[in-house]
Amino acid sequence: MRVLFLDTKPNNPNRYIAKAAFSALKENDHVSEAVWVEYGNALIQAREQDFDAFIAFDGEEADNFVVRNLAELIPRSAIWFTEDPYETYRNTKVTTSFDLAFSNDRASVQAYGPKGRYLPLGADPGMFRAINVAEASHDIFFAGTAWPNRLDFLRKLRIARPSLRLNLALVSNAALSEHVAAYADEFSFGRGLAMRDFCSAANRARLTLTLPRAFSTDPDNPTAASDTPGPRFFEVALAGSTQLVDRSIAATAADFLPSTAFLAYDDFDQCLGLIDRTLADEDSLHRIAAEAQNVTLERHLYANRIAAIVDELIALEPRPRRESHAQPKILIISHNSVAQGWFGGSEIYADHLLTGLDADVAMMAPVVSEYGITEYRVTDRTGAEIDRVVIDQPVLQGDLVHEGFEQEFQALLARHAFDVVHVNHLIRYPVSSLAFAKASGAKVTFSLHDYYLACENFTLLGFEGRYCDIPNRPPATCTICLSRMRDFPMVQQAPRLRMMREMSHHIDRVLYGSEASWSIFSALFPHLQDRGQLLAPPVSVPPQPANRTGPKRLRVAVLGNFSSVKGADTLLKVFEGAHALDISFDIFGRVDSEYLPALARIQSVEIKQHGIFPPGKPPSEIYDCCVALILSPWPETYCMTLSELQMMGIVPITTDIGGQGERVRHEVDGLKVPISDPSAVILALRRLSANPQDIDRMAAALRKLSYDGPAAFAAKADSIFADVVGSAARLTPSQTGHRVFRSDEIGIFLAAKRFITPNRVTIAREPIVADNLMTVANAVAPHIAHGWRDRMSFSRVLMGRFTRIAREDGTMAAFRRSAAWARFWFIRRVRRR
Amino acid sequence: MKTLKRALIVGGASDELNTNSILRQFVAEGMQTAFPEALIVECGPDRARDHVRNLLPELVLIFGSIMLDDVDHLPAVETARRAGGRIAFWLHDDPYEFDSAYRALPMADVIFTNEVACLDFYPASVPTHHLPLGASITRHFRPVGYRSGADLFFCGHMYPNRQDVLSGIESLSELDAMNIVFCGSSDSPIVSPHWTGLRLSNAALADFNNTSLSVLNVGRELDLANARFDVKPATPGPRTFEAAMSGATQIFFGPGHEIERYFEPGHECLRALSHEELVDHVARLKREPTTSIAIGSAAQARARRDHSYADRAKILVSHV
Repeated sequence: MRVLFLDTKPNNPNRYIAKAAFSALKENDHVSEAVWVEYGNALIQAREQDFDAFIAFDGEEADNFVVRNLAELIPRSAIWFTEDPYETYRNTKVTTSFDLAFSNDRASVQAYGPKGRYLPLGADPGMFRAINVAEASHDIFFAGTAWPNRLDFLRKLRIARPSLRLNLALVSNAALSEHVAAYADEFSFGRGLAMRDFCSAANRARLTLTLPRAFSTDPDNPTAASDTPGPRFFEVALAGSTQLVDRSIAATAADFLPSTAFLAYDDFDQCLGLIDRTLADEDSLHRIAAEAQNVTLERHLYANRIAAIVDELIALEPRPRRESHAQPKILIISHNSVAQGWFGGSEIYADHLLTGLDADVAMMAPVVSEYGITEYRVTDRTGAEIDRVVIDQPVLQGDLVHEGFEQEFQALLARHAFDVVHVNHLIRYPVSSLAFAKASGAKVTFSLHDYYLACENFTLLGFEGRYCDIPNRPPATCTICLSRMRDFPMVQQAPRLRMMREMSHHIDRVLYGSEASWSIFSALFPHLQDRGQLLAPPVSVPPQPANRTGPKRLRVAVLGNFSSVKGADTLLKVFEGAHALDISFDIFGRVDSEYLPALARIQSVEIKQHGIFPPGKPPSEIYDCCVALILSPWPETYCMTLSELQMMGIVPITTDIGGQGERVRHEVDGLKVPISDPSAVILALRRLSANPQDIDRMAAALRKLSYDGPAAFAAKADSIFADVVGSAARLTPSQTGHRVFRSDEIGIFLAAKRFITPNRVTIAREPIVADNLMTVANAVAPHIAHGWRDRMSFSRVLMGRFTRIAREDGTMAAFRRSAAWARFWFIRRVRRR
Repeated sequence: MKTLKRALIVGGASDELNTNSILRQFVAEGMQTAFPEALIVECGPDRARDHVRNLLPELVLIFGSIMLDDVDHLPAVETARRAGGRIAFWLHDDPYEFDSAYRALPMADVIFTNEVACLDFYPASVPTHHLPLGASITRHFRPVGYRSGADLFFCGHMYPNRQDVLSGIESLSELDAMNIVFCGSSDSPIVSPHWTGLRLSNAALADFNNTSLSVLNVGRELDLANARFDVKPATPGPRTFEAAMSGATQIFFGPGHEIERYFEPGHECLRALSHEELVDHVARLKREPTTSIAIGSAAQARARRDHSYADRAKILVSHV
């Protein structure tokens, strides 16, 4: 049998018992494989692999989407409640999903009806200690929570027998502190013992005392007390100590007889009498401890308990396996939607998915508001709202986790039980969303529209005004760049990137538009290298040739927003430099306001601004242009504009980078120019304006290109999602009122929850040591390192203190010696910019 | 792993921020001693990926704290994995930083923890083993001779529980006749005639441990990331084995029994459960200085036999 095992309490101080039970499960003869899961991965494991049985352990916090679905998904399911009777009132609701309910408290079993079984806790073989009464260091050992009834007992004991060597390990907690304040003079409270120390301490004491707890959280039953042995009973027995147990909790296993395997007392006086008699009789101490230890070894280990569960599970008639959805159920999450305006390519792409997929798809996007985003709307393909997430505090830039959002997001995912969460963009979502999507049992897919996962500055346009090329530069470059970029004075790149990488382990498939962008992304996220898939966005413009207007002046189009990320700075220089050429320019699209004055100032060449147009439908004047400029200084992940221009038969001049550079074959169907190089563009325009036959030739080559339209795109996407989901069984949605988890409960740890700090990072104060700088020197490409050496010799002239430098010596050892000066030079150089 | 040819030991945290970065050198040395034919390289996390590319190690051992947010081992780990290497984490700040151990799970083939109690809390999905710190024979060994130093010596960061020990023994009258030295660092000023704010290098600490009549060993109780399970520590402090290798007569203060797995109480170490007991031990050693020599020598012999980093390295590699 393949068994899935989950401790239902996410932060369980008694986790050691769950692990002991799991170890026993692995050893059980009927279990071919036992798999330990936690809330972060339980559902996805259950959906991806076939299990024969599910065992839920502890039972606390179990009223949640994960446990309910695991119990129903896996053909045989059992839950073992270990905190009865204190939790019985909550547990009955949980048992409805399970086939069997085991309880550690005999009296609670009936609450679970015909599914109920009695199963006390036990002991792990690791607790075994050889009995050693003769060398005991204490007479009586007691460890446990300092419930007031226990403190009363111990106080009386001290008064009655002051010479007894007591070893007390009393634990108080926040809930108890007010109740035990009165005892603070007589007892000291600690944080408790590790389990191994507990067993050793029991072993070193002649008697171990067990006192009942008379304290419950059940509002209807505040004095509920158990009559079943607590977890310690069998553990102390195995640790080789004679136990003194209150008879009210001594309704133990039938084979544990009082006086033979332990000592039972009804009240304090009887206990005292037993203590006096037994401590005087070392033989009886030894006998009782040995009997208890032997019986425990034979019948009360977790191996025995697990066998009881497994035997019953095997005997069950398995429920039929649940099927998958006919069509995958998909939630797209995005930072914005077409419906809300001010959108770009990624919103259009998401819209195509939403409207074009055969799959059952919904989309979640924030509701834009000037007061900060506190609402996210979920709509179906018609745009009708089907659900909503509302939070108190907006998700801010810099939030890696966000408890309010995470809780509502989990509740949303539970209400729908999606097969896939497709991340169109993560802006306005905490990156922990990826982990919570996976925890809800959904597969996670991701569209690479830009490099937001790598940097807040998602175009990777650095402080140099061009693509930063960070995969080929030392990581510390980010510190310099971010501190100089006007809008990013306080962003810490390293913690952000670390968390992005950790969370992106949950991404099952990355859909990318170009190999160039994929290669940049996968260099920074190497663990995703095998999870990429090419899916080009759909092109809506139907093929149609541009007008060939004969010997009239060449008209050059600039299509799409006129903004810095689209190379507006270079374009302005091109316009200025083109006055000697017989060409004019047409700008189709929004012009960013900061460029309007500069454009107005250019009088030497004609520039027509045609204004905004609906996506995919530029004005017909564009067909009067036969050449277009795409001068984005960053590696676009696709560049829809390029596809549209190609379909329109307009010959592109593009920057030789990213998706735009990838899809132009130089001299075949377009021309490529370096980034931020207006003179190269002007040369290309001059050449084309003087040689219109080249334009014709390249335009003819463009006619051979074809792209997927929306229908073909959606069909490809459908098959990708179907492939990602596979035959994973569907989950059952769950409406309201169940437990959702915090990020720490699914294994996310952050020393700082935000990567934006109040202290401005400055290079002068940063302790960059020479060794760090060796990384700088070593990691750069050889031709760049060569350039460093040139510059270092320059600063040698300035410094006058070098005796040997790398230029003369040429070795890494010399590099190391001069690295300190290199650092000085670098800082000076950066400061001068 | 039966044999080892190439291993890379990477610091868990940046060396600039890590006062324990010297331990990595001891681990590397121990591993080299245990596997003389192997090529062992150690580095800080900033250099890890470069070294992985050059060395193509069969084993990458990430050693130390992974709690801080700015060090990401993933690029080095992925490069090593794709070249067929195995990834191990040896975390020596459990249970105080246990919550951060979950970061290692997606990257680790095997995890080693200095804290035996944490074995009960690590997820069973990744093999996890207990591996306490150790000592370097070359760096920490000092011949045990005349005890010329303090009667009771302690060096370390004065967490609140350690300050409690100091103030607890100061209230006892027997202390007047004793020469007590507490030194190290502290977050808040300590007013005590027995305290000196002085940090010692690892080598100097060995000298002090070697020449003191007795050395106090009390763990810390300051959790930086132990909120999920509140794991109670069982394992003695990290410098236990170094002190033993230096021939110190250590007095372990606290209720834990774990120490007995490493050193035999009464013969190779002493245990104190209360301030009175601690001071009694020191008084007795003052009366019988040969006992201090005997216990310290026995501890040293035990450390050489069982607790060197070479021993730890053998165990570690056998589990990879």
